[in-house]
Amino acid sequence: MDMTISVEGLTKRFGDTLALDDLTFTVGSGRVTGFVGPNGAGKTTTMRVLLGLNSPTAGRALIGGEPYVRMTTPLRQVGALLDASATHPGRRARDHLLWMAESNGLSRSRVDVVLELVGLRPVARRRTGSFSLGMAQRLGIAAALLGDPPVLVLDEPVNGLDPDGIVWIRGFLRSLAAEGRTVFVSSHLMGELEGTADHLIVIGRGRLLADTTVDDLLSRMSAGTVTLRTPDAAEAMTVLANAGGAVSSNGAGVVTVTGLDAERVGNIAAAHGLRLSELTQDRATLEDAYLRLTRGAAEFGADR
Amino acid sequence: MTAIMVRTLRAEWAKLRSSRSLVWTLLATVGCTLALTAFLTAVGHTDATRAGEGDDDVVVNALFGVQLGQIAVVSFGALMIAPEYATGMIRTTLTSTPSRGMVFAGKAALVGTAAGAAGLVASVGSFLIAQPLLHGGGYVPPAYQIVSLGDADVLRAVLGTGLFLTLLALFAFGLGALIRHTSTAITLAIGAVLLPTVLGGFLAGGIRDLILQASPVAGVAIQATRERQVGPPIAPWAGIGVTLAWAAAALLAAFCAFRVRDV
Repeated sequence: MDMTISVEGLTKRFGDTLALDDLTFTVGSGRVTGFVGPNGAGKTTTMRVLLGLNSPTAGRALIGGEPYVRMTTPLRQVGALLDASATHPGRRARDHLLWMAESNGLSRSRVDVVLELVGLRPVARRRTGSFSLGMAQRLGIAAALLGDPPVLVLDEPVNGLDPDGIVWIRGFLRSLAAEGRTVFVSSHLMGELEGTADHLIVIGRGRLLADTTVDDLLSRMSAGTVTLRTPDAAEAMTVLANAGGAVSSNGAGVVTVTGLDAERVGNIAAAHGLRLSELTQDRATLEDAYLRLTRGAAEFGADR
Repeated sequence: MTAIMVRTLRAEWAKLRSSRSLVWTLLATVGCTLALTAFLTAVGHTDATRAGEGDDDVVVNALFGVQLGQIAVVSFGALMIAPEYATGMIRTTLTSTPSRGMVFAGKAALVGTAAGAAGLVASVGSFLIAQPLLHGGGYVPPAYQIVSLGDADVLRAVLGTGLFLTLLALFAFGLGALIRHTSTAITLAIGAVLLPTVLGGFLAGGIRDLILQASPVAGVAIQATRERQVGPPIAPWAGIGVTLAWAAAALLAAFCAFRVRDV
């Protein structure tokens, strides 16, 4: 069964606002794909169109080659988490999952399985209005897993979870992808996805900014600078410049070199008997890379 | 029925059962109707002692409690959908069952069935508990006939009252789906059933007649079993027809909006 999410030329206009602007990408199975962008970038709108809740102005979104609205038992194919607090506050957690199970002809035993899975078994009889955001989030994840679907579409699942919960959901997303599922997770904080996502779809102002693996993005965005801390700063600058590096110093014993890698810098320092207390290869963090990408989007948008 | 219809109905039924507000408004439909009828027939009495002297319609008196029950039943109708928008649950509903026609039809069918059952229990119960109380209040021959559910007109009035409540619930459901805001929908629905009744009591002549002929509560005329000076200005089934038209219009408008709106 094809479990690819494909978004093709998706455009969505709300009045004068262009929320999605000719967005095209695909999300493959067996890995966690992060869907990132600043607030208002169009992540939620994309997911709502994907799930048939909003109709696109142009383009289409398919899951497994099929529009979501055509599915007769969608919970068996796609698990969705959109807004975790979207439960009737007076309804008990278990009852919330029970009506969902009925709607797709799923067995009642699945309800208990997913409650156990997300750790809500002890509070299954409580009304959801009394839930904390973290508990509501877990209930939303339980709902997404109800039909044991091969595709998961989760909008900001980390939101509201406590540190324990964050560690839990990261491991959980990875294990779902390792089982071969398609895991599509949005976040407005790149850091939330660091170490979790394998692939990234980055959008800003409704446009695609990057569709890349995490490793590619990091090496592309890394400035390739080496920082060293030394009491022999003046001499270090001279020898490194002679070796072809572009050097600068902050005047307090910290020298920054571009154009030479860390190994080369270390060898040169040793050859000249320089004393080093620190030698670091700077690598862009995912957050840096993301900020640079989205800052570009903001400038682009402002220019228009 | 197709499998998806059955699943949708079962899901909506599971939602209804597990929602306190929906269960309570249904119970209140029955409770309020019975309580108001019991109170009014217990305290009411007639001085009429000769045939043709009294102008009351004992069947209308026995069903008067629906004036209160209709408030509960329209609340039920609106609550079947409007809160889903307030909480965002509508998105869970539509991701579980993406066919909008199926969701709307399933909900409307359940509104009709549940309100119909509650309305029937309310009207039959109201009629039955009213009889001994009316008799105690002097509503006895020769001034008033003893009535029973076996009389064709009485049966029409009692079952028709259940139907009237059902149609009001569907009307309110349509309003709730259209307005998508719980308190606004309930307020409008209650206003639509109470205002004509209240105005009808204050006004006289052509305006009163027009209000009682054209408003959503015109269907209350289904309770009439005799000609009276203060009786409804519309025939029983014509009145039900007017209420039906309001319900149909609300449902149609709501469905057209529901089918295409982003949620």
